[in-house]
Amino acid sequence: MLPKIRQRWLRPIGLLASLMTLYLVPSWYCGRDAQAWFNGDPGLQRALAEEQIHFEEKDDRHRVGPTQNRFSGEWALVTHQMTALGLAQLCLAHPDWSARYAPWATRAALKSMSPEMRDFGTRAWNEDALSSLAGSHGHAYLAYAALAIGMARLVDSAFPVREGRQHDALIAAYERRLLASPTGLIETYPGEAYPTDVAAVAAAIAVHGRATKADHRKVLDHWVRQVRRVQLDPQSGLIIQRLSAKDGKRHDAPRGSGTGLAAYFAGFVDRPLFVQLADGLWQNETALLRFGAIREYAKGYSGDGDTDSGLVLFGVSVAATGFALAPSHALRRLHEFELLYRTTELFGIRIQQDARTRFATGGPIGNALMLALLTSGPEVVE
Amino acid sequence: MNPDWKKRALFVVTVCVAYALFGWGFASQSEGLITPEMSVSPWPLALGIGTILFRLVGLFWLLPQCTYWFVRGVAARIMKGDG
Repeated sequence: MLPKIRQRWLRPIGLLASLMTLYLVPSWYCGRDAQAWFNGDPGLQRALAEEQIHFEEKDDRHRVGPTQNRFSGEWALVTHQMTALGLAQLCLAHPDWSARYAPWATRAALKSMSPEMRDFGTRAWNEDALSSLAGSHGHAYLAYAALAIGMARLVDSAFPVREGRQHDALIAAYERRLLASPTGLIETYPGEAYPTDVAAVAAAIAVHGRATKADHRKVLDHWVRQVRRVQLDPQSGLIIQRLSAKDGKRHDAPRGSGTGLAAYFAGFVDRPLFVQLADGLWQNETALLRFGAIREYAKGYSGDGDTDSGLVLFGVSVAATGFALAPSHALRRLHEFELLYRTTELFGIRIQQDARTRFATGGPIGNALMLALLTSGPEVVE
Repeated sequence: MNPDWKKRALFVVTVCVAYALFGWGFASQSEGLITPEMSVSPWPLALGIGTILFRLVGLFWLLPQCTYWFVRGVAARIMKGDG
């Protein structure tokens, strides 16, 4: 038998070791690849890119037609859009990879613009966005595809001319609608305006300017001014999720998911605004045991998860946390990136299979997003 | 072997095997988690939820608990030797 005084020490010693393990080991395990992603490890980037190419090939064989559900339609469009953006970013970062990835960026981008992809928007407005370019309806959802097309045009010298002209016409319509809006907002669906979607519109216009040398400074300056004046909540630093396009009246709270994606899009347009939105996200970051996450609702607001945020658990959201990877990577904030990446790996579960890698819980849309967000940087305007 | 240690070892092995099985199943099925029509397939979803749950249990409870048992056991042996 041990003397009593010594036995009393056994429990605290065990507890201390247990707490140290809890603090250090899970975060180390889930953050093993964080540095490699942060430093743009070519093996990891290629493996995720190949996974998305594999998905695009499979999708060509299995796609059956337009979906009847708006959210499923949005998912499909964003999957192809983010694949195109991620592949194009890799081409910008590694020009010698363009021979492999630029044609796939074009293919994914063109698919995101196809009639079956934009069908959900056509049904919402009762008119096709590309057949009503002279009209005043916003159709902001299609800016996601327009941005992908712009990036494909930027990196693929063989981009088809006819689709390029169609893209020019769509961008001209967006430019006219955005300049006419005193709030810097245009509608996504009738009566619904989302600043994040309009950030995609601005990014599409900006990238079109880079690809074609067209001058869009006037409209982009207007958008940046109105984001700061109308769409940004000064207290939280977050973008208001939904507003009235006519008078800027708030229809939702300042939220992390919208701000995260808007920050990524702002990177294509205006660096100071990109930094400002990224700061807003980090102000709303919370960490536990060296795992980081972004709060979905600004302090003083509350709500449930929805299609924009994904699951909201203990006040933090899947989408906001994932989107915040992009500014952390692009602005070289290693500490913030590691915190967020560990959480992404914990729930995303990265799997390596042959020459491909994927985040198993995200499905094609999660992997497309990860490709774009984890390789963010080369697209950001200086 | 102390009966307490046997029970603990059996528990640890059970959780590890369950995690490995769910993880393996999910890795092989996860490509079909989201269908081309962008709907979620229930079977890979169940495997995914199981994998995440066992991962959380393993990393945040089992691992610190094993450390506690191990360090306490080693400390007890050292103190016994001193005495």
